Amino acid sequence: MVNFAAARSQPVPYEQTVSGDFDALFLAHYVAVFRLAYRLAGTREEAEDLAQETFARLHASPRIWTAEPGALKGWLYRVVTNLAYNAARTSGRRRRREDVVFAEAARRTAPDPADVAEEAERRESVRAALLRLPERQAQLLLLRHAGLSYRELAEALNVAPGSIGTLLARAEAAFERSYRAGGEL
Amino acid sequence: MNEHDTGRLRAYLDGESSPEARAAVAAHIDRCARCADELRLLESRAGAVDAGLSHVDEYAPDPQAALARFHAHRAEAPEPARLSVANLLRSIDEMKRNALSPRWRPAMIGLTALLVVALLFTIAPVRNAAADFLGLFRISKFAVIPLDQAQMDRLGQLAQQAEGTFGDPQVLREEGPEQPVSDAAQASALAGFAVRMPSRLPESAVLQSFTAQRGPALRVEMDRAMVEAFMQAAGVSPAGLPQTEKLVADIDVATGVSLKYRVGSGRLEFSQVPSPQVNVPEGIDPVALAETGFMFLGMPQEDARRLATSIDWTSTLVVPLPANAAEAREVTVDGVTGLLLEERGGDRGDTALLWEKNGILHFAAGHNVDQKLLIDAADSLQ
Repeated sequence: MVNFAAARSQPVPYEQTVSGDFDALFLAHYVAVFRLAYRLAGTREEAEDLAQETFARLHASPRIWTAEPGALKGWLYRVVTNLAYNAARTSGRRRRREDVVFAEAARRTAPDPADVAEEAERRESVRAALLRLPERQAQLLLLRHAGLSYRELAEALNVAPGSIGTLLARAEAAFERSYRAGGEL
Repeated sequence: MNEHDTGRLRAYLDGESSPEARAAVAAHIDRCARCADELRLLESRAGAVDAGLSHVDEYAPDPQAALARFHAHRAEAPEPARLSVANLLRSIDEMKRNALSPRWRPAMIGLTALLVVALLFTIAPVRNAAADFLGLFRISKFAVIPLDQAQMDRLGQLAQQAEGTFGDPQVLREEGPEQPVSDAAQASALAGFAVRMPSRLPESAVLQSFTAQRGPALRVEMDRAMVEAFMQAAGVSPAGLPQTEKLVADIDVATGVSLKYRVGSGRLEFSQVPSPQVNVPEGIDPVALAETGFMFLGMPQEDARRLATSIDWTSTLVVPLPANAAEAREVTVDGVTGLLLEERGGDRGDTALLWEKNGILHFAAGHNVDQKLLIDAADSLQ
């Protein structure tokens, strides 16, 4: 959850927030946002589009720019995982895993095509396992992996800080089951 | 707390426990084999999940290139058919400006904020039995919620925060230009309903302008999770939201017509517009939402619930009225019950009337004109 109170306490009129501020935020967070998107998206191109959309939303929300860093990260990560999860689940992008693996293998040149295919396959298994989880569990795992503290997680996902340990243990167990159900491991 | 608590062990693993809890867990696992085993299991599982999720970490996209693409894309499509909520508020407000004195503009801004801010207060919901997926909201009655200045400010802040959080609504159809019309027949043809003219006016009344203007059609799309977070941030617990991931509200303001007269040193203005259509996702619970909204305005839960339950949300437009600036009462006008808004303590006799007849919302406003004269003119529409 975004800390609006914190964002409000240092109001910066939109005209004064030079675009340099936004650019700095973009550069600082792009890689993390892209990777979050990529774990749920089928391809790099989709992940790039999702990251762009996330920053378009940030651009439209100048008040978030001045939120404290943890809250800003929480906001960005929540938005991108939310977008990516929904895109992957709803809009017919749930293509067959073979297609994704093939597309990824085809677009990358590597010394050993077998390695690339294997790696793409592994990535696809993780993605499929995440998408079989409820969104909140997938989000929790991704945001934790992206380095949010328990307090930041609690804020981003709007739950009590004391419950993160329990939720995380549950989500990890669910992920393991989901991954196994996909025929891997 | 249960000392064999998995969540506590998990937090311990991440070094996220308080020093006391950390010491307690450390002491506990020394003597509880079950929890020691559990901790090992949690650790190996967390490691496996982490390894699984690390697969894409080696992909390093180029942030500079992405930023260039971001700006190039924005330059290509410089906000083509998009409006900010602030602009939306202004444009809807502009449409109604003929109906209400500028002094009451804040009330209307609050009102339009309601339209936009995910129906936090909900306007005039009528569930169309024919629509399976959408509730169809139409206005046929008005209720006034008096608000003090602090509450008006909170509403304004809320609208601003909503703008920051949800971004811009999508403009499905731009607002049209103001078109001068010469008579009721031409106005009716443009508006698509039978436009009525006052048949009783003071002798000194001179028609100054007669115009028709098509309203905008907008779509507000929000993630439920974000609406929930937003409500939490506003200090109220989310309630009344449908279970869908996306909340999509469509707002369609049809063509409206406005007539302005000068009467001596005063003015009389009439506006007619079909009740704006607002489609909201099925599953919106207006009573729960309204209760939340009233609580946001500082009402105790008990009172909020009573008020939310007492309003017929199937057909009522709630007008938030700045209590220090205006007062409202019900009057009979045009053969129906309408709402009369009067400036409090004003010396210029600003008065506004709102009523609904045959699906058309009517606004009549008088500035420096006797109140009886305004009602009489409104009664004479035909």
